[in-house]
Amino acid sequence: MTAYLSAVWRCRYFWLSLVRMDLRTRYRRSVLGVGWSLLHPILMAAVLCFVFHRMAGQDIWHYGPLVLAALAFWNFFSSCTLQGCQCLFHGESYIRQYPTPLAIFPLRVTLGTAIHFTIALSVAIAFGVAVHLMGKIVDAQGHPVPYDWFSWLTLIPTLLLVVVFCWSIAVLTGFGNVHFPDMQHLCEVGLQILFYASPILYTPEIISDSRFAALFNYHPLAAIIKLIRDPIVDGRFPPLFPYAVAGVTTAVAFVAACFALGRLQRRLIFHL
Amino acid sequence: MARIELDNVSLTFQVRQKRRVTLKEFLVKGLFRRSVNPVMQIRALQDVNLKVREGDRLGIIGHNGAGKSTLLKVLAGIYPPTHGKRIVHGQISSLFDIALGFELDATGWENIAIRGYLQGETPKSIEAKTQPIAEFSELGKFLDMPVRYYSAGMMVRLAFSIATAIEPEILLVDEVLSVGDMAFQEKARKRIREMMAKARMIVLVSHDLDSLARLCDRGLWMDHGKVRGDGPCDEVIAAYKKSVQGDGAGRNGHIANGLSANGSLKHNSAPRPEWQRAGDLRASERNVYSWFGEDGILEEIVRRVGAPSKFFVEFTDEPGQARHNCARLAADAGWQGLFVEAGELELQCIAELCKNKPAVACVRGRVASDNVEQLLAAHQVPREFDVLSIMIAGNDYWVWQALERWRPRIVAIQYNAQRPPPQRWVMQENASYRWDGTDYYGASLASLAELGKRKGYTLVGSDSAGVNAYFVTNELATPGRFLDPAVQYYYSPPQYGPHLRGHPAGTGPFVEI
Repeated sequence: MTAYLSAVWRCRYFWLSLVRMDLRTRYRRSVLGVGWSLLHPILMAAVLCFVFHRMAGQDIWHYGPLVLAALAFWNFFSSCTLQGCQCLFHGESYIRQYPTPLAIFPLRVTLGTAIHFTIALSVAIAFGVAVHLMGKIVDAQGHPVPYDWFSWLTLIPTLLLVVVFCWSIAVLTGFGNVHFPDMQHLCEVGLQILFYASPILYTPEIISDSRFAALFNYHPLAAIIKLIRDPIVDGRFPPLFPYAVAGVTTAVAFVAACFALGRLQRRLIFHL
Repeated sequence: MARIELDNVSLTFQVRQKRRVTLKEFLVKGLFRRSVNPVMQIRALQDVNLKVREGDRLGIIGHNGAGKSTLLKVLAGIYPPTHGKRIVHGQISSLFDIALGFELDATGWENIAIRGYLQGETPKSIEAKTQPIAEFSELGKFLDMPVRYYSAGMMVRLAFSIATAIEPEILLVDEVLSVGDMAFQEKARKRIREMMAKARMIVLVSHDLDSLARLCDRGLWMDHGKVRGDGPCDEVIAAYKKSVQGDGAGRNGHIANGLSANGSLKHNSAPRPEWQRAGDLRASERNVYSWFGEDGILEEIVRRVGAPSKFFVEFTDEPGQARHNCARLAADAGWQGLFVEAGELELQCIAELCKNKPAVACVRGRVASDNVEQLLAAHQVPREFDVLSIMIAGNDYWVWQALERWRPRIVAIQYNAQRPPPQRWVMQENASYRWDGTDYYGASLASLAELGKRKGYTLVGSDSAGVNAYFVTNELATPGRFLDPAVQYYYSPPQYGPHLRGHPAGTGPFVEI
């Protein structure tokens, strides 16, 4: 394990430069450059706020940051899953020339998309802060709800958890896709279902069926989304239970990813 | 201290006929029916024992597919041995597959950095080397452009310059000497000699026995994945030569590239002696620019029937394969002609090769039965010209059929060897078809022979890989000039595609004519 990590560290310049290059080519010749990453979540949230405000009577000030924060995570997760499917194929020509630790190819995908995640999350935070400073969030009696700025500190472990989780998923879909070419299509379908089955456009509280709502307590993505939403939208420390759910999920995914790397890394070259 | 040891190393490739297992197959495996995608075992290396010490200069020789390149990749740590142990001390640098591994959207400069990091450089160390790499590659302003726009030759030049900018402890080289044009090749050879002088240990794979004898002090002879000889280089080479001559192979003075066990395509096996006696064109296969001996075969046909106009036309459209049958006629024999190539990068390659040949036109275009005559008219192709080559992996049959007003004397046309004679099989005409990597393309040899007969052409030859068929007009096929056997004789089973067993199966409409 240590030897493997040090091999990954030794070629850090290589994968860092790949990440840098992915970013650069993504925005090459575009007018706004990284601005697109900024604009995309804002526009998305604007559209959703408009639609849900008009149709479902949602309160824009509360709904906006809520959906922005969840979408930021969702986009990160789904990009890692889908790009992860292709990551080993994209690295094939390097793998054929140098014995490189394969973990760096999912890492390339994860870090590249993590940058867009950070930008989108910053937008959500800015929105959440603005809403609170304007005193738009009020309780039943019309008093502004207290906002604990220190709750933001919880974002640090949460983001670490999210990055490890998404990297593990990218490893698993990467190896999966090498062995089963259908993997990517399955992921696409699965993600579509998961999008509506996760509290992204809504919160678990709106579900009236109590048995169904209880299921969301154990929904790994719902737990992660709650960990992100609570400090940003409501300025409060998240409860411990979602940490446990997200932590266990991440641990399972991470162990599975390490297992896949350990078992399949050496023989992958024969399957490319 | 640098050291390499292989202890009883064996490597078995498990290859599936259709490359990968689908999820469906994985689930129904063994339940309802037998696998339609069986695993084949290829024993690439068997019980190889090897100790290379510091100061050794080891040359590996052997037939095509003997396991030389595989052995090198095991040494480099790219293929894990199936059995046995590999012990390596020292930093390895390898020179093989160097044309791979570019980030196409990044500029040449960025690629220098990325590849440098992959070779273990740091930002500081690569900074000092970037300028020398740029100078050696002679790419000048091209380095500011994304690599996507480079020709194949330019990519190899850049790759070679980066790969050789390091000072290695252990150097593994697999025949990389054919990089770029002649001038660059000379430079490359010199660079490799310099590297060899500095490296503490060298392992070199080459078919060029003379240069091996000069560069190496120890020889290793591989045969069917086993070590057949190990000792002083001269002695091993002498034993190898003796065995080759005994087999009757390599008689035309060169031992050409061949199949490597991992299925990457190098081609051409030595001709069989009965072909030589019979005057079969397969005995004349030779590759300078071509892959399947086309250069040599065309030269031989021209020798037999002459070429009054020295004019060729070639249609190509094979995504990702920049090979042109008439490249040698254009670049070295001083012919006039026209290349019509559908792929942009492939066009750049041939254009680069012919850049100093004003009599050769290279245009981008897709040929179909409805535009072939317009195309020839637009480029003022004479009505009687010498060589027509059709290699568009699709409507080949229909294009030749549609060519009525022009009458080339020699026609080289791609056939589909996965439909052996007497099968009549022609892909249904489809102007928008682009080859998808499967065996759905072109026409069977029997159908092409029939078309030739209708058009007044005689089938006179083919290559041993099952790729091209050669026709000449009936007037030129005088008795004694060419063999005149049945179509079956000219058929060679496919020796192309992944693992040289043809392309994976594809389906589509076809006609039996």
